[in-house]
Amino acid sequence: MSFLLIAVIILTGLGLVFGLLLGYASIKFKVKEDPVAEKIDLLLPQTQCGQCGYPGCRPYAEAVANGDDITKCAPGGKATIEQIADLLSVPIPDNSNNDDIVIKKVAFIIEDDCIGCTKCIQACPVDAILGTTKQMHTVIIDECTGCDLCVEPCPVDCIEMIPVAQTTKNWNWQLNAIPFKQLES
Amino acid sequence: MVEYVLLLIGTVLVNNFVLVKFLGLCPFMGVSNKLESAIGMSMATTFVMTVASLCSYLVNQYLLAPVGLEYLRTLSFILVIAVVVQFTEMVVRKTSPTLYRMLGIFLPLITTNCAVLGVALLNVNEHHNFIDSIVYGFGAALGFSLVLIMFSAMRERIAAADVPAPFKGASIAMITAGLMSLAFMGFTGLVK
Amino acid sequence: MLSLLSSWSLELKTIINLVDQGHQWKFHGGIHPPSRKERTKTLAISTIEMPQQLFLSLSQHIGQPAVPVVAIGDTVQKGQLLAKQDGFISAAVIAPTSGTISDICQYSNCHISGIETQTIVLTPDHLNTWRTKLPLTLTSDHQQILERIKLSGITGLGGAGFPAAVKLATKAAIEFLIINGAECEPYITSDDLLMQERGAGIVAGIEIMAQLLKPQRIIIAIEDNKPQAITAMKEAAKQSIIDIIVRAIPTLYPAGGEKQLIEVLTSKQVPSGKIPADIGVVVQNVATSHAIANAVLLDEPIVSRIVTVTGELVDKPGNYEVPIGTSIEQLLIHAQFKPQTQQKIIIGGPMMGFALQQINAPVIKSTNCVIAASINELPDAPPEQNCIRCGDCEQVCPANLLPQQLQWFAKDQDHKKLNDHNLFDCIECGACAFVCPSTIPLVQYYRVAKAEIRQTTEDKRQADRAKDRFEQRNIRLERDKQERLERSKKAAEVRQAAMSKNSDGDAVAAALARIKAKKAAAEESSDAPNKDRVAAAIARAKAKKSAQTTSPEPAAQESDDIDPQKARVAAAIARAKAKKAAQQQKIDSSNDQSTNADTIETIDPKKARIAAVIAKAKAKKTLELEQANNNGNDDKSVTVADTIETIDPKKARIAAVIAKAKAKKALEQQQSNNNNDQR
Repeated sequence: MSFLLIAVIILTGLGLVFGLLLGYASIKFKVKEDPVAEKIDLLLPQTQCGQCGYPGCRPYAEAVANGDDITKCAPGGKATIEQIADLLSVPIPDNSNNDDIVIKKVAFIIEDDCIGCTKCIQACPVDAILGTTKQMHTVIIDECTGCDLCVEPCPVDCIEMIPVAQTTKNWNWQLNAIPFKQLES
Repeated sequence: MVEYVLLLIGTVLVNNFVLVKFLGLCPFMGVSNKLESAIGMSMATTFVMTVASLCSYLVNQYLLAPVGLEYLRTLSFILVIAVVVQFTEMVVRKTSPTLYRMLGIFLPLITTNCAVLGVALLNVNEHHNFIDSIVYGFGAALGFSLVLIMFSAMRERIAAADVPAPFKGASIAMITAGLMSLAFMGFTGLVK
Repeated sequence: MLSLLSSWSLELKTIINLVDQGHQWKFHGGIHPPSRKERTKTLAISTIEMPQQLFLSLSQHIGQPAVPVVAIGDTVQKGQLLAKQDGFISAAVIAPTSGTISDICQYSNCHISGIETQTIVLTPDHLNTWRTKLPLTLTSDHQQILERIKLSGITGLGGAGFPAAVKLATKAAIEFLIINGAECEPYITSDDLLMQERGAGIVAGIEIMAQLLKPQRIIIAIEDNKPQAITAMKEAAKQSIIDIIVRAIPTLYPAGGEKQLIEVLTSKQVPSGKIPADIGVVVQNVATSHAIANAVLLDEPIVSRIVTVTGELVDKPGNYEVPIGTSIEQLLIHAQFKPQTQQKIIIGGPMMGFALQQINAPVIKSTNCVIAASINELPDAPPEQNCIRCGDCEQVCPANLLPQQLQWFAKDQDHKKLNDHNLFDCIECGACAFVCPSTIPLVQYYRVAKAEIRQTTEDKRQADRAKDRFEQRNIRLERDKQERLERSKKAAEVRQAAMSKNSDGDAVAAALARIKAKKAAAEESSDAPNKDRVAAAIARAKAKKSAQTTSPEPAAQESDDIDPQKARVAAAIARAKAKKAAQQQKIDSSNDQSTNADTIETIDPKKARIAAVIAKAKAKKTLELEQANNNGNDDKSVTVADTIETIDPKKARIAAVIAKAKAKKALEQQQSNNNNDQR
């Protein structure tokens, strides 16, 4: 009986001592900031589109750091999901609706139809639309993130999302993508 | 002095924990995808194994053995290892963010690394004294690091190589590990 | 510091001394491909007839495309500026002859991708009249000379097409000016012939560049398989007023690569990620030098270039001086091209050049060679085999890279490792692919990987920018909000101050008294009947406004009650009823909204457009309303736009905006309802 008692006492004591040690350490060596959100934010495409349901990329990064689903970033596509999964060491979710390659688009204002209401300017999260009241608006293509947020507020539907054209500069050297042509003279 | 050197070499090469004793295979396969993470894991494991073999020796020698509680060894060693790892993580995180970035994410993984428990139990089985235990723990960790880093370097190359489709991924890694194990058998008889 | 400086100058001295003694170095690797220059290396430069149309791409160089300064239908003279450079790294486009601009359109370009670029189409008038020329001299102001080179649209004519003025505008101290006449690629002989025939022009260009850069040594480098060119250039250099070294270098591909040439001549290596000017060297092609001389001393900008046309499929190969923008098809016809199945039209050399996608593509400034090769001459690459790790590629790499490793990482898309292994130092010379026994198209893998890395870097840059802008915008919005609050607060204070100013005598006491009095009065008046009449009137007005109908509810009238509480309740009921009525009306009328829009009489195009916009707005709103109704939500929006049947554009516009506002309200309402439902 005493044999059993000694075993119980020793192990309980050991556990208690270790528990106190860890408890003390967790108070003494407390670290407050969470660098994970910062890292996730760096991986996000920064379109600030809000398609994830959060107002901007940073809030979504914090949400992911706190355990939200990592598949909500539509503009980032599969690549971003993979990167976040890699960072957080979680498996890549299998709902493959993000399989298609994201084609970058930019907003385009049909200038004939624009009534100059400034609604799109207020909607743009990155200030990429220029214009003023009752004046035609236009999009700074280089700054547009293709977030779609300006399309909805437009009262006359004069904003279109057009895919970025491939030029000799952003051409990706995929030679097999070029159909072989027999040159005739 | 010579005996410690022999013990060290024997543990690192001849009785390699991973390739000869088959301990710690989980991180060996799991963390060997990238060289950087393998190095981080190696450093963290080295630290933990050395400290854990020290602590478990003390617990065994001065707490369990005097009252004849040797049969609770496994239980209390797990407790000791877990606490050592957690405590180390907290301290490192607070004191050195750079070191934490290198080791931090691997430390919790080590708690469940069977090589750590293995080294503590083997210390008792082989009746090592205090210094023996530390050398044995360090040597085991060194062997683990050596093999893990070599393996991850190989896997990085394999990742880019033309592996036949049926062997892609884990299977070629297993084959590689097997070949490495064969190679390490060549050290048999070097010491002891 | 001093010792460091002195040791540095000592080292420089020794290098310059060694160069003066005729010492040459070797770069790592290199190959000896068959030269195949024999066919054209003795054929004098000849001209071709002016084509019917010239296609002047705005992207003939590295960097930003040029911006047109002419319009369709303009008449231009030879040498006139057609498109000006846009930004620092860009080059102007010049009219190669006189004529009219017949189009500015997307047209196939002389580029490996076959992607169409913005192109000015010039129809020559065959008079070839020059614009007024204002030649400069060697002694002209440096800035003026640089400006002239810029305006003349001169790019590197060796193949890469880097704007020449950028290199010459460097502020770095230049030790070596190297004139590249190596022409190491097989087939090409255009520079060879230029050196043989127009050495004086090249030397004149060198003198101008020497003026700008003040180099300590000037070296013309020519591969030793061009003895005539070496003799000709030595002769020309003797006539020069400055010291020019003509150096024959061993024939070894790619000795003509900028970095390799520098190493051969000066033993210096350009560090990774740096440009030659950083180590005090500027390299220019011989043809570029010639073009600079023409531009500065004759004020003849770049209107033509020498193109080698060769290959088994042309009967009349040669070195032709071709107006920029001539279609390659035209050029081939001139050279008596015999089409064949499985032929290849290669632009540039066979090592670094590319197979042309469209034969109507024009000659651009960097087109130095057109090879019409038969299938026997340049056979298709055999299928790619597995790498056998022979290491031959590493032996020949002139950039000291590890092509085999790079290949693995490129296939694995491991961008980090590619950068670690200095992929961007690869000059894409093709030596590794040339020696590969497994016929792996190595360079192709590198090019794809480079494009991918560039794209990810660009995406990253844009994301960072977007993030910055987003954060800045949030800060701005927050600040605006604060400022508005501040303003209203200030305004309130001003009002209060103004009120207290009106009091006289014992200001504080009076103010206090008045405040007390006011408070009392307010308390009293809150019960007073005239106050509740006002409240009732407001309620009535609100009810009317929200109803927007001609049938005011009787409930609104009853609000003239004495009890204000009752009046307010009554007004609220009236409002609710009016809204309900309006909603009913709206649902009824939503069906014929489109007809209403159609009835708007359109008198002039402007009105027509407004009408269209209204129609669009209505259509959008109808859609939203339908959605709202389908969802069965209590939609409280009020329709007014449909009541407007007017031809007054201003009213129509206002109506459209109101319609939009209402529609939006409806949508928000719907959304909040939805949210509530979800909760």
